[in-house]
Amino acid sequence: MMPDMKTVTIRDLNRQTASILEAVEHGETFELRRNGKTVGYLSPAPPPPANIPNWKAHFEWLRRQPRNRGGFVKALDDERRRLRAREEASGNLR
Amino acid sequence: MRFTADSSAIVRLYDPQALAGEVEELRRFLEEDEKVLTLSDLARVEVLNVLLRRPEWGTAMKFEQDLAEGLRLRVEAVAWPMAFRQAESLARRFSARLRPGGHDLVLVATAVTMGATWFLSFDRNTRQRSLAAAAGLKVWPPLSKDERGHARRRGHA
Repeated sequence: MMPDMKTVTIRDLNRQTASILEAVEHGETFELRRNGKTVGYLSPAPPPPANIPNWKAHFEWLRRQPRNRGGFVKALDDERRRLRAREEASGNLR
Repeated sequence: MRFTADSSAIVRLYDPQALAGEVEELRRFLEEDEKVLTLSDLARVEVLNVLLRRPEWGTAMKFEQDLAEGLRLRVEAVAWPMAFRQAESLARRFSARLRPGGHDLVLVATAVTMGATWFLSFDRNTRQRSLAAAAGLKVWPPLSKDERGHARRRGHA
C-alpha cells in the first residue's frame, strides 16, 4: 500500500458509492481492498502508459523514412567483409 | 527468455533500404509478444558507427533515443573478462572445424555471457550464426540447411 493513500473495501464501495466517487472526482485516490488484499485503485487519473516495446510505432517510423536515407545494412556488410578479408590475409581463417 | 541482437539485426531496424522481406520478417517476430532486444556496447558502437556515416539524417539520433528510452532496445552491461574467456573457450571448441572470425567469436561469446536464449543475426556471410547455434543459442532467423549442417556436424564433434 502507498503511504497516505486511503483504502476502501468492497463493502464501503457498495454502501458509499456516491461519496467515494465524489472524492475521486475531487482528486482523491483509493486503494480498493477485498478480504484484506488489494484488488485495484480508484483514481481520477488514467493509468500511466504501459511500458511495452510498441514495435508497431517503430516500424511506422521506418516506413516514413525516405528510401534514399538508407544504405546502413550495406555499410555494415562492407565493414565486416573488410574485417574478414584482413583476418583471411593474416591466415586466421584459412 | 532473452533476445540478444547482433548489429546485423539492429541495423535493419533503421535502414529504409533494407530488404523488405527481411524487415517484414523482423517486424512480425518482434511484434509477436512485443519482444525486448538486448545488445552489448560492442553492438551499440558497431551500429552507431555506420549510422553516423550520415549524422545529418538523424538516424543515429533516433537509435540513441531508442536506447535512452530502453523500451524496445536495451544495452546490457557485459562482464568483458568473462566474455573474452568465453570467446577463448569457443575458439578451443569450434575454431579448428568452424573457422569463425575473431570478431564473430567475441560477438557470440558476448551473447552467451549476457545470458541470451535467442541470438538474432542476419549475418550469413560468416560462420557467426552456425557458431551461435553450436554454442547453444537459438538462432533467428532459423538456420539454413547448410548452416544447420555446420552447427551440428562441426559444433558437436
